[in-house]
Order: sequence, then structure tokens, then C-alpha cells
Amino acid sequence: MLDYQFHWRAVLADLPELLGGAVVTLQVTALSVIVGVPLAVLLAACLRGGASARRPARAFIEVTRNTPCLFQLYLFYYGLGALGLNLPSFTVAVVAIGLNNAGFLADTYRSALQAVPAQQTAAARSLGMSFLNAFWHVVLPQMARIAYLPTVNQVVWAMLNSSLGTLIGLRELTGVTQFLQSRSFRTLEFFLLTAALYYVLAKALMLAAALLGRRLARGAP
Amino acid sequence: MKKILFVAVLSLIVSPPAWADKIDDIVKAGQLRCGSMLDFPPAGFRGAGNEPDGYDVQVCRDMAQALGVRAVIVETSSSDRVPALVANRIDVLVASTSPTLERAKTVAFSAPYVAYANVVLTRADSGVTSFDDLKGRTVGGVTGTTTEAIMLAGLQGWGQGKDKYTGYGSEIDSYLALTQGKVDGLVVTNTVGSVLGKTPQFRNLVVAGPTPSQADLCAIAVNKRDGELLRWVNLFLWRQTRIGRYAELYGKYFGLGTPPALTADGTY
Repeated sequence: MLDYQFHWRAVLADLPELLGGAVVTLQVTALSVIVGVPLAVLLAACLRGGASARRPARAFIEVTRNTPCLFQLYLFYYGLGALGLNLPSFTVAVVAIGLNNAGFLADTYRSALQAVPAQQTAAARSLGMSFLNAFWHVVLPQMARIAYLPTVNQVVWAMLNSSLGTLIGLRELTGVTQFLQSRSFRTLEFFLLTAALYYVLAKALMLAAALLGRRLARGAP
Repeated sequence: MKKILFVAVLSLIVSPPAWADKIDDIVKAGQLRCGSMLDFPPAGFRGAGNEPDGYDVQVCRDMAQALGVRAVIVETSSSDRVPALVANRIDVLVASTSPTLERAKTVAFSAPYVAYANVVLTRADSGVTSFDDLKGRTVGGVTGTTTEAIMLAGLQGWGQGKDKYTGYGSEIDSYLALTQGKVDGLVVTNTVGSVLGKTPQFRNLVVAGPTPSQADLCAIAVNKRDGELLRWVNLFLWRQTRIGRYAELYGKYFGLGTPPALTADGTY
């Protein structure tokens, strides 16, 4: 039985500080996606290429997908630290979660690339487009449509993963929550409020993605 | 008729008394569930065979013995301490907790049962020799701890923001960050500072003098409603000091000579 009286007033007074943490969470999420998505496209292209491109790409994906994100954060933060390279928590979170995004999205993008008929490239090339031009103007837009929803899922996942950043000293939403709850010991209120904030953030991301997706779908076959 | 009488008598025997307090519950259950942090040596850690050990753990065991029940040590991380208590997963919290007035609105604190002094921990090659030497340098701490609060108060005193401060998730991570040079200083308890430099992986860490903070007198916490239990805990602690058990355990786990007084100057 939970024998507990909820005190919401003190917790709500700290809401601005929590929202400040939420801003950091969104910054890390956005930057990690900016790092992850282009890299995932590159990996996907490598997976469709020859063995010398495919093997290192496959190795990278295997490692990022089959080890915990927390471990990857630690490796970048303390692992590089052991080699004398000390990066700030924020940078490490962006890079590590970005690489994690890339690993998870690469196979999705590979199959999305596969789903774009080869004739599209052939047709574009026959019109005199260079390979890169054909990829950029013809293949990539079609691939983006197919891979859009899985990418949105990964963005939400990256946002939730960013909470691990608190363990390497990042003061994002979870870090701020830990800090504030220890001050007053109103742990349950803070955890409930933060869970609600994460839910709202995730829903807001989905909604924004849905609105953006409508634009993307325009002109689709 | 016989049957009815039997049921009536039986119900008298097995029905709970009208009013049972927490001590009755503990004695009846035959166990005292005690929350301790096991990542905070030498107050709480896992010893040989992964068994919980440490000053806090031993205080729990003494308490259980005095109650004539079995001690059940429940590991509670720093942020799980109060949820464990209010969700009734533990009966008492013996986890080196600083009794602030703010926290006392949520849980009930006993009299002090251990005292920590807080010191500056730095690398031998950092050139830091006092707390004020940390001004303008990168510093760290563990999120949500009293030592963090001291560091943040220091930053405020120097007119600095939090941009050169990093709060880590655990004690061990903060030591690692200091060893690697991510930060130049931490505030730690003297008990930790005295043992850390002797461990091989942290041998470049040294204590660089005291911090401008009072001794941190830590308390045991119980649920606010368990007033009877709190009174019993206070008597238990008073006896621990009187019979010399406090000094004995302090010497065993912290090994820092005379144990600090569990009182504050000018008051009790």
C-alpha cells in the first residue's frame, strides 16, 4: 500500500527548471538526428556497394545495434577519456546517440533504397544526370517517403535514449529531475511529472512529424 | 453450535489487535527491512561473496538484533531511497542521508548516527591545494548529493555559473572523471577521500584540504507516520554511542581515529 501524500505545489514551482532540462533534451535529440540520418544514408549506400564498402558498414551496424546505448555513451565518454581525449558531456551525447541512430536506421534505409526500382536510376542516368545527381534528385526523395515513419520512430527513440546522458553528467530532463528530487525528496511527484513531460515531448514530436509528413506525401505516386 | 463457538474463539485469536504500530509489525514479521546504498563505501558496499557490508549495513544489523528479528538489507540507490520508504518496501532507511528541513517535509529523521566531514578531492598534478583554488576550474559532483550542494554553493560564492560544473550519475563515475582530467576537483566525504588514493585505479587522487562546510550529520529516516518507530530508533542510537558501539563501528569501517561527536556546537 502506498501511504503517501502528494505535494504538488513545491514540484510545480520547479517546473521552469524542468523545462530548461527538456530544452537540452530536445537539442540533443535534434543534433543526434542531424548526425545520424546522413550517416545512415551513407551506410545504406555502402551496404548496397561492393564488399570493401559493405563489410566495414556491416561491422559498424552490428556493434551499434547489438550493444546498449548506455555502454556506447560510456565508451565515448570514459573510453576516450582514458586515451586523454576529454569531450564535454553534451558533445558525447550528440555523437554517441547520433551513431546509435545511424546504426539502427542503416538497414531501414538499405531496404528503402532497394524498394526504389533500379529503372529510376537508369532512367535518370539516360537523361544525362550524373550518378550523384540521379541519387539526390530521383532516388533519395522516393526513399525518404518510404523511410519516413521508421525515421520518426527513431527520433522518438533518440529522445528517450538521451535520458541516459544524465549518467555522463548531462543535465537534460532526467538529470534535472534527479537533481531536483534529491533536494526535496518529492521523488514520486518529480518522476511522475517528468514521465508526463517525456510523453508530451514524444507526442509533440509525432505530431510535428505527421504534419511534416503530409507535405512530404504531396506529389507521391 | 459447537462449530459457531469454535469459529468465534478462533476469530478472537487470529484477529489483529485494534492498533498495531510499526514496531509490532516488524516484530511480528520477524524481519527488519532496511534500505542502504551499496555503492557508497565504506558506509555501504558489497563485500566478500557479494554480501552487503559497511557502516550503514552494520547499523541495520545491530538494529535488527536489538529488535530480535532478522535484518533484510534492501539496496536502494540514491534516488530510490524515498520511494522505497513511502512504498513500504523498507521499514527504515540507513543510507547516509543528510536531514535537511526540506526533506523532512517528506520523511521523518532520527537523531544523527554518523558524521562526515567534506573535503576537496583533486589530482596530484592539478595544483589545487584548497577549496578556493577550484575557482574558475572545471569541477564535478554526483547529482543529488550533499557534496554536490557544497560545490554548487562554492560556485555561487565565487560568482560563477554552473557552466564549469558537471554532475555525474554515481560516485565511481565522478572519480573516473577526476582521474581522467575531465574535472579538476570534487567534494567528497573525508571517509571516501582517505581510502580512494590507496586504490590502484585512483592513486593519482589526493585530498586538498577541507571545504567551507559544517560537518554533515547524517540521520536514519522512517515514514512520517511511524512515530513510535522513530522514538525507538532514537533510543537505539543513543545506546549505540553510550555502549561504545558507535566508536567501534566507526573505527572498523572509517578508521579515522576518534569518531566525530554526533552533536552540534552550542546545541544537542
